[in-house]
Amino acid sequence: MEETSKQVRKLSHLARLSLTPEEEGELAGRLEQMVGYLEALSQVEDGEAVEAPSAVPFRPDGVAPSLDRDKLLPQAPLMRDGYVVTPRSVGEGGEA
Amino acid sequence: MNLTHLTALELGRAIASGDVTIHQATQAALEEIAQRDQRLNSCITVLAEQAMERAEVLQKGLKPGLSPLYGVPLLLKDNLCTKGVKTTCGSRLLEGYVPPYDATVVEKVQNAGGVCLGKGNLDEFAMGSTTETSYFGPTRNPWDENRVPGGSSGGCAAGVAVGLAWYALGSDTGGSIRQPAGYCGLTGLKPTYGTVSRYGLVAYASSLDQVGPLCRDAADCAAVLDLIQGKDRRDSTTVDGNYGGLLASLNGDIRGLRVGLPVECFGEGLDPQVAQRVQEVAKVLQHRGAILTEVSIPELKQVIGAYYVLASAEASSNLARYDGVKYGFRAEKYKTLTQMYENTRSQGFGKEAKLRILLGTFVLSAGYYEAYYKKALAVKEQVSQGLERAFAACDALLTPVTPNTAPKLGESLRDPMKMYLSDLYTVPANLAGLPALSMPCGVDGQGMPVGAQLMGPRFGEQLLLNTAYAYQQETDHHKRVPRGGEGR
Repeated sequence: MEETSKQVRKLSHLARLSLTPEEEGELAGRLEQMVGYLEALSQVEDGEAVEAPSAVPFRPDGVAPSLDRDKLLPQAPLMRDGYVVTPRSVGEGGEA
Repeated sequence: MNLTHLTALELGRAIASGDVTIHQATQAALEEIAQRDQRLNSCITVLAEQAMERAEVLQKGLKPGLSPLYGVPLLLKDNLCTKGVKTTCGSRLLEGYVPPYDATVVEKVQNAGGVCLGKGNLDEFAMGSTTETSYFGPTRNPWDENRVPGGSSGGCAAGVAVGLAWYALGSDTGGSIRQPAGYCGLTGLKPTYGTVSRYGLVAYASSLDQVGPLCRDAADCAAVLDLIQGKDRRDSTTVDGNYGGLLASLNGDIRGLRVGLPVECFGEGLDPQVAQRVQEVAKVLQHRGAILTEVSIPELKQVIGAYYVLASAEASSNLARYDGVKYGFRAEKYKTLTQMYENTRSQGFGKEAKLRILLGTFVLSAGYYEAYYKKALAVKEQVSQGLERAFAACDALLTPVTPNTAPKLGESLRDPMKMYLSDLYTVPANLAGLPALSMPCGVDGQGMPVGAQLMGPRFGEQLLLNTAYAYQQETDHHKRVPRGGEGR
């Protein structure tokens, strides 16, 4: 279980989730159960290499109206002078 | 005449002939919502005022030759974007999100004269089979309010079943239209992958998602699919299915149709009462001239594992966009950018969404990709081949929709593995991209609806709808309404 909890912490970091200890315990248990069930997939023959989905045909590269910037920007949780505000993205530690 | 018990096409005809006004129909539905929905919780948003205004406008535009569904009110699953109307996906993360555009299917039903009454409740980001993981609380099944309506399109299914609307648009990634249709006594259709545009459908697992109708019978499903199908330049996976007029082609003639019953779908774990109801469907189809044949598709054995690997992998990628930057919920407290992402996502997503994101991250991570993701892709391919082989021997497959009827509220949350495993009859159609239809075929000993599934080859919608139409000419299960309603 400790091993699973360690793995859940690693996965939650990769997925940008910070879990409470209770959540971590519960999700570790459920994840362990699911991964246990998925072990059956190991018996599956790979068979022929699965081809990547066939490329969809390109549409003509025509100019069409896109969504209005003025209508999109107000969706942002924090906006200043027409810009979306976040903590600094280069280096960490900056505050919004 | 109780308006809310008519089918969508019956109401459409009554509106066209002037027997009923669009205002009357909309008013009747809104009254029903006001009376019943506080208890059922089918709708996250009710558009009472907008619907009445639209009804007035549409009434003025009424003239001969319009869509057969002109003026007919409907529900939209709340993962379909609606311009100027909240689209929450059943999540805190999108609680206040108001899209600046309509999904293509929303545009299409509106162009055909649809009146949107509200947005149907769903499992958070369509992840679930019971509508219990919604941030806005669970929806109840109108046949028994202690039971779930199924999911993830449970709000739409419960709403149409009880007469809050005449039809609904849902989405189906692993059975999310067919399973709630089955649990609520409706006819629901997941079209062939590519038939209906997903532009404006909030993505869950993009290689599996399809939009489709939840209706009271097969004819209504045909009419709705006629409206929403078609190539869309904004969804490059769409194709022109060349269906012609699906509604116009319904004739109920299924003489000589070869209906296959896969032995794998009638084995262990299937409630004998469900099995019996589905076998009775086979007999009715045979009576109409279909030829029954037993088929075997051993590839179906691994479908659940493959489905949860692929769907979770795609979900972990699709849901990466919810970071609190450009739209949706953002956590109040954070210092760094990473903290902002983590706090936003941790407070915004519910438990089921977190589990699937973690599972998806796991199966895509170095060292596990080959063992899980690639194996799941291999199963997907094998299932497609197995079904293709089956369709060489028969024209349509008949299976149950689920092994059991609707469980009690809370049961699936206590035993989620059982819930995942109950998707085994519906996920093959998603993995193979094939059309599949769910239709009511009676009730179990508790009086809960049982659903039968018809699966067809690629672009076989006409065949499925006509088979269901033939079945519904012989039976009246689709006319039964939940307790509290009068017989239709």
